[in-house]
This record gives sequence, C-alpha cells and structure tokens, in this order.
Amino acid sequence: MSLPKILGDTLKNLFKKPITLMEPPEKIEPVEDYRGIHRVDYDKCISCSLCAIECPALAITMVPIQVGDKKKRYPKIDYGKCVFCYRCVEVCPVDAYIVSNKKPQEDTKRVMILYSPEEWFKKKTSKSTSS
Amino acid sequence: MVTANSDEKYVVEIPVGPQHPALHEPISLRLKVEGEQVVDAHVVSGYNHRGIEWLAERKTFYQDIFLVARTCGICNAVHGAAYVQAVEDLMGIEVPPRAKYLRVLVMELERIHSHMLVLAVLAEVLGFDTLFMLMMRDRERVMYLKELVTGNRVHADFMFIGGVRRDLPSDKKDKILKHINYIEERMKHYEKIWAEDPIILKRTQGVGVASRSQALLHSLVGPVVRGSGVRSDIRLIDPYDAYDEIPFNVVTRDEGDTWARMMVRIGEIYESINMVKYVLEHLPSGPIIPWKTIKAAPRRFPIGEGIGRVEAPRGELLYHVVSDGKPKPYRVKIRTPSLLNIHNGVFMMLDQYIADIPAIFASFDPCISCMERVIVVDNKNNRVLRIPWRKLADREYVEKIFR
Repeated sequence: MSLPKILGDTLKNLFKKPITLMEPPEKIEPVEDYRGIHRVDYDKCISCSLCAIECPALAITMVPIQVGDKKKRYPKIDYGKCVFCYRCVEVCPVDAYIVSNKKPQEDTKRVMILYSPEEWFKKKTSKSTSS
Repeated sequence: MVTANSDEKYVVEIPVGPQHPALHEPISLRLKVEGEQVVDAHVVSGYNHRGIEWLAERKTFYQDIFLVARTCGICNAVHGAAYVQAVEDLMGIEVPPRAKYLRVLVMELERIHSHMLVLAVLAEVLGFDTLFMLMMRDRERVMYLKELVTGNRVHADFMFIGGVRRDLPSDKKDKILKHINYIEERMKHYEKIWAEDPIILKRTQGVGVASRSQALLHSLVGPVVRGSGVRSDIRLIDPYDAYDEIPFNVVTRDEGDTWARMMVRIGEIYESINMVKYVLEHLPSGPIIPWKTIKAAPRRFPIGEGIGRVEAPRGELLYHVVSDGKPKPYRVKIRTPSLLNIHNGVFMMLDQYIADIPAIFASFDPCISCMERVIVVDNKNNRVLRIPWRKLADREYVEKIFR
C-alpha cells in the first residue's frame, strides 16, 4: 500500500491562511455586473405596471400614491420575495430601474426589505417645501 | 420479539433516510438486509414535492423561464435551456449563432461545477473529508466564472426565448481562460488521487456494478450509463444549440462500477474545459436575440406543442410544453434524469454491504427535489395508476384523476 496522494496537499495547506472569509467584517466583492439590489426612479416611471405583470416571483405590487392632485400607481418591491432575475429591469419601457451590484442585505425588520414609493415622494415633498 | 433460529435466515428492514441518506437531501431507502448484505431495496420518495409543473401552468411563458430554473439549484441553466428550447420548437424561432455559443459556454461551466460537486460529495461519503474540502475550494472558482458570465453565482437566469439575456464582453475572456487553466491543472491532480489513492479504490472498485445490458435494460441515463460502456449522450445523438459545431469526445468506461462512473465525470470535466476554451476562441459575432431588443419579444404564442431535450450534468432532461394559444402554457411536463437513475438504479444495491450503499447512491449524482413527482395510488381499487405519456400531457385528464 502506497502513501495517500493527498498528503502533500494537506501539509501545504497547514501553513496557509484559511480560504473562507468571516463575513460580516470581511466582505466578498461581487463582480461589476452582479445582479444586486435595484431601485426604481419614480420620476421616470410611467405607471405602466409591466414589471408587476412580468415579475415571476410576484415581488412587485402597484400601490396608489397621491402626487399633487393626481392619484397614480407606482411599483413597490419586496426584496424578501425578489429572486433578482432582473426581468423588471429588462421589460421597463422607459428604463426607470437603477441597477447596482450590491448584495441584498439580510435584516430582521420588514421595513428594510421593502422599497416603496411612499418614502420617495415624502422626501420629495419635504425637500420642495423646505426650499 | 425476534427469535433467532440457526436453521432459518431472517431478514431485517433498515430505513436509511429520509434525512441525509448520502447527500443532504430528503429521500428514504428501505433496505432489507441479511446480516451485512442487502437482499432487497426500494426507494421511497415524495418528501420534497413542490408542484412546479402545476405552478408553471399558472404563470406566463416568460415567467416560466425563471420558474423552471428553480427546479434544480445545481443545473438551473440547463433547465432553462431545455424549457426555452421547447418554446422555440413551439414558436419556430431560429436562435442566432452567438447566443448558441454563449448557451454552450454557460451549460459547460455548469457541468464542470456539478461534476466537481459530486466528486467532492462522494469523497465525503467515503470519509475522505480533506479531498471534499479541497475540491469544493476549487469549485468556487467555477462559481465565480458563472457569476462573471451570467451575473449570479448560482442562479444564472441566462436563457431567454430566442437567445440569451446578456452578452459576453471581450475583456472577460482572459479572466475566464486564466481560471479555467487553473482548474484544469488542479483536476489533473485530483484525477491522480481518484485513480491511485488506495482507500478510494478499495471503497469504489467493484461496488454497485451495472453491466452494459443491465444499464440499457433499466434505461439509466447520463454518466451512470456511460460508466457502463454505453455511448449515450444527447449532445452527440441529437445535437442542440452549437454542439454540432463544437468538437468533443463522449467519455465512456467499461467497468460499470462506482469508480467508473466517477472517472467518467472526471473525463467529462476535461471535455467541458476544452469546449469552454473552444467557445471563447470561436465565439461568433452578431446579435444575441433574433429581435432588436429583448422588449420586442413576441407576446403571442401559437397553438401546438414543443419538445426540448438537453444533456444535463446528470443525463437526459426533457421538457414538453403544450400551448393552447393563451399567454400561459397549457401544460409543462418535466422529466429529470434523476427520476430514472434513482428509481431504476436500485438493482445495483442488491448483494452489496450496507456500508457501501451511500457510496453507490451518491455515485448516481441524485438530485432529489427536482425528481419528485406525484404517484397516484387508488386505495379503493387497490392499484397504482399507470398514465401513458400522451395522457400526461393532457391537463384536464390529470386534474380529473386528482379530484
């Protein structure tokens, strides 16, 4: 019986740093065009609701928002349901989606995994009133 | 109470599973053993049925591309390719050559990481944890390559009806080549371990033997049947995408045991590496979808049916899509390779020792959650319903028997 062929590898790895990273402190950098968190530019959005119709995971719902004196429907994204397939980014006729390579953040609070138009318009109205 | 009688042999039934029989997936093996030897075995499945076919009938054709990819985590791009092929067959769409080559690139990267995974898992089953760790470490490079090409390290979501969803910029080619060369070098080292390590040879050679005629009789597919010396490969016998233009060898071995099946997989990794290199060199220029943009994809689907079949890492994968002219498919039938290998491959476990069962089972490369289908048992009349293939495509018939 000969010596196991793996012995060389084992000895070599004894003096190496571990390959696994301790994520939270250390971070694995995704590639540049990684399908990460995506946002909606509600100024561009024309409320066609194509993204909500096409979403395979039903993560996008259209919510009514009062803008000025008009009531319009805008997409709300639930990242708990989202599978990051970027179908919504693809079908949007006005390219209103802003893409990034950030990995979705895990959180116990439900607010963190929702992206809704309410806050966007609240911020916008507060900005316009202050200035 | 069992009383031992020296003249009479008695049989004990041992349940293996449903938690982690060999892989970390739920399936139960009922083994009848006489001493240490298995005299009868059967598989009990159904712990992980998710109703993907049912759900596919209730989503649109475009939503289904992403749904069917979730059938299997490991071979997701292959599932997407088979479904998309079936829909293209239904609609009569011609795929541009660049898209064909890019599909082959992603599917071969997937084959490399899938085979590396099962080689690592079998090493772990044999108690060879060092090899498991080392192979999984190198497999991560392939996952990185997949992320580089498709945008996600696991779920590619790369296939689209008519082509692919994203192009490959030329600056990524060097990165892919660099990593793929490293993997080839490492695989040579691992092949040496698999071919020469005395522990691996003793645990796998002559274990779970399927002869050529047995493998054909039980209609096994994929590396399992190629390990028994049968040249069966969908890429060869029914070329799809760009496989008729890309040169490759079908790896076969004649031994038919667990070791032969694993060596076939190692050989296929080399073939896949060569194909990836060939694709990067000969990638044709041109569009990746037949339309101007992906937004212009047609919204109308003709009445009819389409078949898509591809060689998944585990064997032949078949999709049958029936359309009745509505935006949602009338029926999507999936047949995964593990269905054949797990249920029909049980004969290999007979007359083997209990300790070898996990090794034999892991050598099928079983993918349990994508295999689960419903079996209809009629308790009133005490019979199991056998449904012909044609009838299974009829949704009304299937819904009627479940009611």
